[in-house]
Amino acid sequence: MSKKHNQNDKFDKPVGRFLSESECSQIVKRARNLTNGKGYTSAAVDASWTGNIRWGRNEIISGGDVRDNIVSIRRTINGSSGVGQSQDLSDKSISWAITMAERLLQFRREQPEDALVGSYIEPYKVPKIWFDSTFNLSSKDRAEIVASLVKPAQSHGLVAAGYIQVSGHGRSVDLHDLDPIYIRQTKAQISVTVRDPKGLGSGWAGVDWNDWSQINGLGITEIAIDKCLRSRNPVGIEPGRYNVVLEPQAVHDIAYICFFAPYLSRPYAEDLGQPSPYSGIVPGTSKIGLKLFDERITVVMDPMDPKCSLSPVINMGDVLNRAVWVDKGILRNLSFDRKYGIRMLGINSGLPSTSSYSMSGGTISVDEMIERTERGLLVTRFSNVREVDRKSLLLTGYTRDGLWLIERGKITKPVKNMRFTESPFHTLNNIVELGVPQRVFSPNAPAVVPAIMSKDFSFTATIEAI
Amino acid sequence: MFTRREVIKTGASASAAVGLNFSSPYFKGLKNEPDDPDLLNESDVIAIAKRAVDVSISFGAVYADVRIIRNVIQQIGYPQDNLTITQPGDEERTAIGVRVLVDGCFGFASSPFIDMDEAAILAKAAVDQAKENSAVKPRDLDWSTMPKQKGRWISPGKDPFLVPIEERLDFINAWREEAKGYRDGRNAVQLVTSNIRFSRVEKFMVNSEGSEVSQVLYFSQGSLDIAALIKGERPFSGPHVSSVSGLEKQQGGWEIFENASARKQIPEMVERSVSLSKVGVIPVDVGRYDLVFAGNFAGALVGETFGQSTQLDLAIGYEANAGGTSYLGPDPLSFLGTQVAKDTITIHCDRSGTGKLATAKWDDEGVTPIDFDIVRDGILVDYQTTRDTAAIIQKWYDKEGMNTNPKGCASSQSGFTTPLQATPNLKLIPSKSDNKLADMISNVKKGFIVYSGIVSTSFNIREGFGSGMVREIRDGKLGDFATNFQIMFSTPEIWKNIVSVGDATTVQRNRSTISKGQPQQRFEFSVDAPALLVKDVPVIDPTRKA
Repeated sequence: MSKKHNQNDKFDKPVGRFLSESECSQIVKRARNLTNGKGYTSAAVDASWTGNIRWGRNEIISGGDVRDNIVSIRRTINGSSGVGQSQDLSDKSISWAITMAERLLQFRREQPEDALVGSYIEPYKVPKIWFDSTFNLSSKDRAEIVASLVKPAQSHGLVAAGYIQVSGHGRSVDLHDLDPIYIRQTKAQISVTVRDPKGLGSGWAGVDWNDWSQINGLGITEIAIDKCLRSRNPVGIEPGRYNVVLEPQAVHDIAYICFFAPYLSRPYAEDLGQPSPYSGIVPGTSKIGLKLFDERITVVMDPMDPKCSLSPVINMGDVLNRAVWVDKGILRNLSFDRKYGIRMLGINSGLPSTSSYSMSGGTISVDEMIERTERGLLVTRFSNVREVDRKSLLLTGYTRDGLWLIERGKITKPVKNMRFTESPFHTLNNIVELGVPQRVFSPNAPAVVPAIMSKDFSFTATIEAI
Repeated sequence: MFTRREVIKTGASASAAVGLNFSSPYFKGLKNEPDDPDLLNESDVIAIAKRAVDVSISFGAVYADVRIIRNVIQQIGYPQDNLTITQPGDEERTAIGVRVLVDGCFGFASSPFIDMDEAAILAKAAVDQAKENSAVKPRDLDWSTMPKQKGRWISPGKDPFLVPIEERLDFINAWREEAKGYRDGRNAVQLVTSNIRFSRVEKFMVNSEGSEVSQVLYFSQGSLDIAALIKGERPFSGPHVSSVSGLEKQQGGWEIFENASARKQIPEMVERSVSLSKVGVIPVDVGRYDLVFAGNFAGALVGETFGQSTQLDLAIGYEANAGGTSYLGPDPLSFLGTQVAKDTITIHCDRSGTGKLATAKWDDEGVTPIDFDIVRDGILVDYQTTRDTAAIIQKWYDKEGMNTNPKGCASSQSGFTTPLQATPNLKLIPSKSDNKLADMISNVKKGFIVYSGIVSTSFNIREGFGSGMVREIRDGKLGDFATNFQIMFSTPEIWKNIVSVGDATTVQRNRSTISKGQPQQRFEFSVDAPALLVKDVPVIDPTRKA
């Protein structure tokens, strides 16, 4: 079966590295040279490398190194613009992307703001979002980490499943006549589920950071094991309204939707035809200025916050400015792009959102919250969350991976999972205590969230799923 | 020494003896269109894939398979009554993925560079990775050899990307012109969304057992919707919205638009929209009811429950950290042969039905899919399997004298991902004796009929809820539409509470989707199902809290 390979074969190039700044700028230069005719040409190159490993039933079931890249070309002529994309980097493909962009702009309305937007980039700073600890986590390292994480589960007679993903992203944006931007960042995530082999209990924990060295894989696994062991053989209780202690992940699983980028959009809130959670009572207005949350809640998105740092430039050169969405319970801002800023607010600035957010908190620990609870439920996380009503953000979903009854300040028994029907606006208004904000598992949009002790959370049914 | 930089400098396709031209077929019909083949060149692609297989084996892989997959998607249309064309969601993605097996462990590497050098680099990287994985955590994997497959298969249909974009736009615009402001008596209708969407998937798979297969799959769909005006509001969804029928997403090409007679449907759509807009709407009274599920909704229920719960990888716990597990697990042998539904329920799986979303000649591990039952007369008789899972239920197959081959359910969404167990097309077998929708409705004293909608289950499929377009049934007759209607069910219970199964005249096709894996992949499949009459289903108002 085995064949001799050619001596001249080149195997040494490590897989999974991506385009450097100079490679990106070469591509952009080539793209410019391929463009004919008037108007502006902007280009962005996204290049990424991702390494992952996945385990289930205590075995490594798959892993991978994936490299990807895409070039986007925007052509703007007479204020109308179109974007074409190419994954292949050959001249021929890039020419096609240019042709496609030019084709598309013919279908679009002329928007004078487009030209303005393309002629200026707002000032920005780049936080520390690149970490060698993440980029250098090799497939060998990942395999060894998994072996070390599976062991403790096995020694308890439990089965572990999990996923680690590390990635590096380089993004180059080159607007007509402006200094090119190149920003690179790393991302790392881990999540672990530990289950009883007969399916009688289940525990989960996970987190994501830019920096792999911030992640304590063994600690994550130990939380999952502990939750699995303590959640076995749950008892059913009556559905109804309960006081709850929501761990930070559970808070995020329902609160994220309040800060989900499309819902935070100011144009969307002001659209007459669409129901938005932030549409005002008077049609065409928003709820900016209204108190929507408990006054202890402040929510910001700040790319420079080391606990929740973000790449400061998105799309074709849109800068992520620090945004205060909620200040002491009052909705202060909704998101908008620079076109909206120019057209509607007369400012040459945007306030985009990426769904990332940091929520303020308090100083109380989850244990202290439990001690202060007469009767209630401790929730690890929510799963399968769906929207029932857009305007009130009424959600439904299930508790998962650990739900316990608290009686007289102590956890007394594991409880069968329940379906809930609740709005995060209600939960974030009925706060009794706030915990210390911490980074939760939200790989697509980093989030920092406190644990919350809240009143009258609505559970509508008991379920058998474990 | 070959470096990535050189590839960039010279362009990917120029860097090796055999490279590929990604000639984009998006805008066939454009001026200056280069004279390029519209599909990837089969022999070039196979040569590159074979190179990756050979290198993998030479470095010590016991098995290797390579997929080169190219997805082209285009969407054009108008949102609501807006006059601006939407930014088309054009996309072209091509990638090569090399998967190898060493000591029971897989390694995988992929990239968008499709050339000979890259094939070798990826192969080496995948083997290294598999060795690293098996060094620390050897895996007990039963991987048996499968018969060699060779060939090329193109799904029937007219390649939509070869139809000039002007013709595609003309199709929408002509339809819109005709539908705009159409009146039925004094009642005007208005346009809602009108868009059409196509995709073309080219899949090449070569493995170390000598299989070399290539497939081209076309998918097309359109939503051309109109709505009756209700009190001057903008009604974007509800019973008063009608869509052109025959344009539901299916495996097929431009011919589905040519055959739909979309303009001829307008008068009937208007009449339906206007008459349904006049039916009253009532809030639902919470309680247990007898319900009729029309074929479409029955299909959604089949897809979401049995379509997922009988995936063997899900049942044994491979998905525990992602979507979840199955109530038909973790020990599948303890469920095979047990009753999971009423004895009138038989569910058949195939990947061969024309026009169905999961139809393919080979799966993405080069296995020829076989038709099989998962539920027969209410008894669970099989699971959906792939090459790495089929042996887990060997004991059952031996006992029943069944074929032990994997069912051919492996699928990769793109070259960037490894194959996963994906659901084949499902078919709930209709009743042989007459049982029409009208008969079923007439058998309900106080209940509802659910026409179409969404079913969603918990993280082990053990319970779920569903909602959709619902109409009241009183004394065997249709009444008002119901709002805030949701069924809540326990999967084993609802399947045991089937009173009757509709006949072939009630069969409708539903498009189902599953998402699974880490990184997440999404797969689609078709479910053909007759109407169902189900007793004692809990109906709730989802907007009501505890």
